[in-house]
Amino acid sequence: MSEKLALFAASWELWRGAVAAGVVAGAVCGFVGIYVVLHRIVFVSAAMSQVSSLGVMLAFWLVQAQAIETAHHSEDILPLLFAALFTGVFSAAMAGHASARLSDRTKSSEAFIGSVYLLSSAALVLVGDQVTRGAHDVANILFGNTVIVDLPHLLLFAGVSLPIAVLHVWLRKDLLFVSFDPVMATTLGYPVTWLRVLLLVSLGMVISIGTRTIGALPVFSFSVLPPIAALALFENLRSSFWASAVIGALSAFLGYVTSFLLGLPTGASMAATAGVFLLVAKGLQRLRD
Amino acid sequence: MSAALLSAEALRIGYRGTSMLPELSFAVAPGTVISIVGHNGSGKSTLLKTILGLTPKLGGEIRIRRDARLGYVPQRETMDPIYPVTVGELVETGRYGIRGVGRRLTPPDRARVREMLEATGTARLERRLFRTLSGGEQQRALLARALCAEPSVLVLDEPTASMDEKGAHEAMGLTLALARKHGAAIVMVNHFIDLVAEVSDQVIHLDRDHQRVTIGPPAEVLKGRGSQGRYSS
Repeated sequence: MSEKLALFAASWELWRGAVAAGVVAGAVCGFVGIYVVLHRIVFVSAAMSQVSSLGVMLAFWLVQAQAIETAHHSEDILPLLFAALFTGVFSAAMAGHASARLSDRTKSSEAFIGSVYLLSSAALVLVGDQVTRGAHDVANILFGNTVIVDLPHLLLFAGVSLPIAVLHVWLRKDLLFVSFDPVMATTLGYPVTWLRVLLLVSLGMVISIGTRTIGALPVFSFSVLPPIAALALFENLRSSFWASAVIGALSAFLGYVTSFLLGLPTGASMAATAGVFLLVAKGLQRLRD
Repeated sequence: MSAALLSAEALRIGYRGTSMLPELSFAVAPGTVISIVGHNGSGKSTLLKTILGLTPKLGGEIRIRRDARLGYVPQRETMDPIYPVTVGELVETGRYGIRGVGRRLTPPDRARVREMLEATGTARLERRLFRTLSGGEQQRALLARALCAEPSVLVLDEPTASMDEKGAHEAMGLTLALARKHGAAIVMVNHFIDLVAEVSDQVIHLDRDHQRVTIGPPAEVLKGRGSQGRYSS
């Protein structure tokens, strides 16, 4: 084990991009995931991951079919654009649904989310089957088996997600308010729909670029498991936000190291590590209560 | 400038283009109390939501005086208990509308929050989670929040729901005293007929079955509807 650790340290330059991307994804998804869990939109996050993956896969397929002419350097950008576009449309539709429910509770968001999830999952498999880049790429996107992330991808991911994290810190109380009590927020003249669009679109951007960078499974896991763990540990929102970000970042780092040491798939290792944090947090919550 | 803080003219309420009730018109003058009564499903909540702008009106006009501000006390059951929000954090949100998006609360905002916490007897509960409070305590915290917004019209959705008559009188006594102290008019949905008769200047009685809306002083509107008891909620 110590030999493997030494090997990991010695070849750090190879892994550092993927580890840094995982840590950024863990911290940012962990932070914004508090809204996901509290707002009871966990399956929105799952559907976003699928929609985003579909966007990536469709871009691969269009390039392969030469339906879109791409310069070599734009082959990497196109999947990101498609992922962001698909997720953006879904996010805006979700925000519209949520606002419509304020005045008409007969509208069901669950049915819409479930339909999007199922249809995008089916389309993902069908399109993926046509892509000759291979099952390896499909698996990377779905399960996050990316071992190496190059510097341009890392910079792009950090460049998008870190400003979003700053925005969320700045507007934390407002975003929480429209999530917690949209009725009161409306009566006080708050731009509830716009703040919801901002929340969902920013969430969608982090998820779509995160999915392309480290895979759908770890990104979805980071937006759900660390927030649940943090909310179990702390009974106040401020601490929960920061704890969730730290648990997400630690899950990514420890998960990656574990995958290297035990020869496991990286995405699943990161998700499982977040799961271990959740079990520990739930145990501590039981002891406390 | 109109004397009425809020007025409705030929207002039609309902959903998906279907009116629930005949047109109704009323005005809320400063310092007055208007109660909306009627059986379950009569359209009380829809009327309240329409006044608050949460449900689109089907026709007519709702006018809110330019300098008037609405404060809203929802039914406490509508607050999602999944959020670990303390009483202090909840009451603070009453100032958000005045401060605006992205702005931090100022010392005067915090002073107003403290004042309302103390006025409603919830200061000692400031650090407690809202979801852990009793029904009466939650109601007082929601009242403190609404008053933080410096409202000229306080809109209350069944403020005495699931309270006994004694508790309802105490809760309304506090609400009325604070509303008067801060110069706010009240528009409320309430089921206690005695209480409504005692505190209201005007009553809006909604009768969906007979497609009738009666508006007037409580002695007239509640006449023949029994002086004891409550409407089913």
